[in-house]
Amino acid sequence: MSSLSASDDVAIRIQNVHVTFRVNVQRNPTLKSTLVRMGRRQQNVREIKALQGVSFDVHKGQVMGVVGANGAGKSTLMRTVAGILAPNEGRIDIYGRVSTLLALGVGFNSALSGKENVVLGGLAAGLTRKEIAAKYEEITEFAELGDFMELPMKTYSSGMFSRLAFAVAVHMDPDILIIDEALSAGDAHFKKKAAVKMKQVVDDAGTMLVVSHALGVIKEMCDEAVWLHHGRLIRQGKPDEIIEAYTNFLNVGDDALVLEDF
Amino acid sequence: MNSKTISTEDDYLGEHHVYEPHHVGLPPFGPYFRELRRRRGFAFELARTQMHAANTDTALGQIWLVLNPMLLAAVYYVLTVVLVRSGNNGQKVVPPADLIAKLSPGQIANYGWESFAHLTSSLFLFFLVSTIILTGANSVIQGGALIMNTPFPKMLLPLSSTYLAFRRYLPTLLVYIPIHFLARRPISINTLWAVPMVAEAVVFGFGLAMLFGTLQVYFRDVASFLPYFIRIWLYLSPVIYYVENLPKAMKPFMILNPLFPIAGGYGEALGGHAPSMQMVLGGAAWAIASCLIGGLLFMSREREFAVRL
Ligand SMILES: Nc1ncnc2c1ncn2[C@@H]1O[C@H](COP(=O)(O)OP(=O)(O)O)[C@@H](O)[C@H]1O
Ligand SMILES: [Mg+2]
Repeated sequence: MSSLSASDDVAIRIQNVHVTFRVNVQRNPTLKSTLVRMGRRQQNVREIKALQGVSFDVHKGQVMGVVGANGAGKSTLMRTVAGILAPNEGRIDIYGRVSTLLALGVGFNSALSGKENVVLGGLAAGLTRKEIAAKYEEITEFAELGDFMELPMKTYSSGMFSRLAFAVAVHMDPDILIIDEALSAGDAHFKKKAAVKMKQVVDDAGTMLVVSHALGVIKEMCDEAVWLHHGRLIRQGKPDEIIEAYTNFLNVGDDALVLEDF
Repeated sequence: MNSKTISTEDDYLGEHHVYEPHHVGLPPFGPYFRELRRRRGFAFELARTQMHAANTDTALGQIWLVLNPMLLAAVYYVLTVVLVRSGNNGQKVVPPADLIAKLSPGQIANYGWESFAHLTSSLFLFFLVSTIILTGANSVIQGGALIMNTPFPKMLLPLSSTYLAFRRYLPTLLVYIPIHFLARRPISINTLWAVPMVAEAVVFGFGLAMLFGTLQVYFRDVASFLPYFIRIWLYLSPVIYYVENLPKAMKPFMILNPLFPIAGGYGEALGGHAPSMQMVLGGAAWAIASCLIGGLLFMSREREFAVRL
């Protein structure tokens, strides 16, 4: 755990964060089935401890990578840092404006047009109409969507969808950018452009928190990395070290497979 | 109860956020409502976008909005005025005694039109409330992708559907105005009482929108039960009858129906009479209670929405 105390240098401070999900065993709970179960006096709630006392700091301008197996709690951590989920215990301090690019999409309603989604997403995130209008041109240009911006997003290919998501996330002028396994935006041409843009965000003294299964990306982009497992922080350190420890742990013969999972 | 704080130390887009549990289960009201206010543009824009998507912003779309309650009003008119008259061997239907005292000779001579005016105006108000509740119940579920990816005061979602329902209510007023005059209903200073009564209806509906929006997250079948309750509620409210039609013995129980004072007071106002204080204050009490209960439930649960969707 980083023990630097100069808080004016810290962008994200995560202290002893616990997140527990209470999961209803039923997938789509209905009033009818709940009443039936209550009649039978059944209790169908399970607890899942997705994060159990995670602490670390991310400093201003730093790119922090997060690795871990499926179910390790990476996405939960990203959503808690973004303020979407609430910690059950602990505290998270964020210094700066956060923009997210999460695996689940960017809050798009596919019945609405790309333009409507960008405006609504921006307003919900607290931008003014003026700010959105100022960024809108850049976003469309970067996403290379042209006239498609006026069409419902259900007419988009998945590449177009993620291009727009990426464009929105990086053009919000975030101080902190959170990316969860969403780097595979579009084709090779767009990936290259995306990489350049991300570098630019970092160079503008931006801070980044990146989850990726593509260990190559972590190695290349990050200054530091953490390894989560079963909701606990196993190790924090230089990306090379962490990746080595992680791949050893995974004990897969060919890390090439993991390295190219992009 | 664990929860998230959106505490912004400076309002300027929140340079310092703290996320931690707070055990009362409610976010601090100051920052919450400040953020709600600051992002209200989202609620209006969402409503506008939805009207656009449903073509309600076109002339034909607006006509359609009005046609539905109009047709229903016509059906009830046939049931309550025409059929009752023919059941009376063609005798004119006479208004109840209490009502006669309130009507002008012109209105009594025109009782058919008067009933029709009462029916349409009350139905439009009832549709305002039921649309707020029905769209509000689904607003949280429909905001799914956004809730999963952006932190914002979720109350913006039922707020938006309330605004949407209100916008859809406005064109019905244009339909009502000519009917008002055909029924020889008076226009007086008392007519202005309609404004606070509509406000009570909106606030009351907003509270229930938050209540059912929350319940719908936990029980996905709530919205499918709602239309039945709303239909029964319609028959229990002074929409297809006048307050004066009620047997005396039933009146004390009517305070239990929130729409009794609200729709009743609205009906009085449009008939040119000042509604009784009992109605005005009773309706206000229901509106405030609904908003408090719905709002507190909503705010104490909204941090769980991202997990439940
Ligand atoms: N919305 C949710 N409801 C219940 N359990 C969840 C939810 N989201 C994640 N989990 C659980 O939390 C754990 C961590 O999940 P996640 O953060 O998605 O892991 P990762 O992103 O590292 O694969 C998993 O066991 C998962 O089942
Ligand atoms: Mg994940």
